[in-house]
Amino acid sequence: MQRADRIVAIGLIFVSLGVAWKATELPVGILPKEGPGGGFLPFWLSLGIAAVALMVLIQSLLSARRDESDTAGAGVFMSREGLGDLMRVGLPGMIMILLIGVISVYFSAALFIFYCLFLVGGHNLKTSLGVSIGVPVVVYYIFEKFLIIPLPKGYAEFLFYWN
Amino acid sequence: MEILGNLFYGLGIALSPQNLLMALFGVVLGVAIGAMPGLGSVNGVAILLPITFAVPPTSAIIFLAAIYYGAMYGGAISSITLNIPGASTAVATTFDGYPLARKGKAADALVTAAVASFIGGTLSIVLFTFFAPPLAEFALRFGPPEEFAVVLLAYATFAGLGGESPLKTIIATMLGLLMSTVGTDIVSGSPRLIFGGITGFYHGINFLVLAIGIYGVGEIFYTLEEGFKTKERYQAKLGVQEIVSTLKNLTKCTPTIARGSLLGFFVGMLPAAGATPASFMSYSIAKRFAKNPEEFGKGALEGVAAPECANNAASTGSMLPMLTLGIPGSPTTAVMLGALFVWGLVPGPRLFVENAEFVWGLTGSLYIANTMAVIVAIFAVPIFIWMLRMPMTILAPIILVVCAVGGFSPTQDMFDVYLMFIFGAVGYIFRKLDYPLAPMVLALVLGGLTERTFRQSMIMSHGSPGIFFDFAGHPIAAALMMVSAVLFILPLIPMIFRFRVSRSGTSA
Repeated sequence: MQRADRIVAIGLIFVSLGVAWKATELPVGILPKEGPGGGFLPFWLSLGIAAVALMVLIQSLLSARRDESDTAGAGVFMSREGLGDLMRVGLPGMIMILLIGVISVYFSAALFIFYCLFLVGGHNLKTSLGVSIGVPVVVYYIFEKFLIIPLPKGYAEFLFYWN
Repeated sequence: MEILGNLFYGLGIALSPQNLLMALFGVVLGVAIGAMPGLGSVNGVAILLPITFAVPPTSAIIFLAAIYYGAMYGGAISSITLNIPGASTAVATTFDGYPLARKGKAADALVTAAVASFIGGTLSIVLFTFFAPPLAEFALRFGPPEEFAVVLLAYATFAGLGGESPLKTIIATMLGLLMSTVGTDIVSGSPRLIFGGITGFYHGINFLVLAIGIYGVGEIFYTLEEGFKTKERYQAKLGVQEIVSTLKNLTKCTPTIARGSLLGFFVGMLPAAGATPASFMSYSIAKRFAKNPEEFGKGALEGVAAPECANNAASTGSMLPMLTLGIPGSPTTAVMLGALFVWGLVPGPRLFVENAEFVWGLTGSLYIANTMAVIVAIFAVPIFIWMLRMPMTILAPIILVVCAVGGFSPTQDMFDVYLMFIFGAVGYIFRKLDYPLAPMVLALVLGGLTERTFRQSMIMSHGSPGIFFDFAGHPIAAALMMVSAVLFILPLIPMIFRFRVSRSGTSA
């Protein structure tokens, strides 16, 4: 847990310094008659984040000298089983998101839900098929028909306009 | 009397078939979402917000307010029956609700929760009706410096009430603000922080993308890792007989409910405090005043009534500063505030004049939604118990799909869906490391206003920050700045103190 805390703090320092550098594309100082320039807020904010993240890092390093077990930072960041459960759904979730632009949100969602129910959750075929077909159909009717918000369909576009 | 006229006007709007349907729909969804472990009103409002873009703002806010309300009722259901708080606002309800359920008095606890919620909600709606217009009138005198000072106060209260580490609250707030600067510079109009011309960044980072990412995707990650072990469950029997007998018993809770409701309303009004702290405060006050404090925690009906009336009262209270000052009183209202901007409405005093239909329609619907919620909450209990049995392996993928769709619809840009997923992962890690997430969302929502008022003030003063501390010219702004400064410094004091102690501890 403590290691994760430090990694995130270090990551924040680097990212915010990078953002501060990008912010200098616009004036970061106070311009005469105009007040602060366009880069003022992002520049000083990211420097501020870097500074406070450094304080978090120092605090974490100092507390390590004390008894490790009594600090709030003790304990594991993630258990092995927890990570497994997360990956079994999280990674396919990511693939589902990436596939939205390719095979449409509907097919991508159906595949993902079926995978989660049938293969991960161990539900029977009837429930798995029912939910994985039912949810995209409901989403389709709510968004495309009722709200008239077209959702991405990728290469499957032609399937929705065949008539 | 003008207020009563407005109220009847509002009730008329709220009673139109479409709005009535929106309220009912919202209440049912809210109760269901509130009852689901891990999901609360913030999640519900954030995930379902995109579907409101197709209806007029008045119907949309009625829908959102109904979800907010319903979730307060729903949270109690899983707290009592499963000992899993449906939302953070219902954590205090588990203290006595679950022991009651174990004694076979789940029905008593559920009815008490519903009735206490109803009374708390109704009392604070009445207060809301009478408090909102004068506060809005007062805010009419605000210029950019005052507005900036008020916004700063909102950040300060979030910092004061944030998690374990004030430093991490500050980081979260600044990150949210930084994200709000992505897109176009409001003064010069030039693109800013687009990182070499990433198209998706030109329109800025939509607060919904962050809110759905954190409260939808991130929350699912969190529950997945926790694993959903089935806990022992108790059947809740609920018939007319149980309801009547509980209602008779409820009279002894009256003082508790009255105190809790008033407390909830005023705590809810404070920026950032919201329903969760209100429910805890109400619980501890009820215990202090009780004749039988030793029964608290073992199944006292007052212990259920106190947090439940307070969280409902607070949810109404927190809408007051959101509408009158543009400052959300809770994370949920922060998301709702973002919605107001999306609909093209400017919260603040002018809203009461220019969008009277919106303000009074919402007020009227609060009365109606509250009544609907108590009925739904009592009579739909068996359905919700069934829903709670739905395993996470079914819920999680459905919620992820809804998040993806919700992340896409506001901007119709796949980039935002990818960004949402990244926010979900980051939010999940942040949450594990005790970075508070609500200040980040709040800062992103208020970021535009913060920068605009700050830069307008600086232009007014020709670049001198002294305008914020000018007691003669801008007394309200200066006073608010002082209050903010104190609130910012307060949480740092124990930290410095701890630091000293720890140092002396190591040297010894």
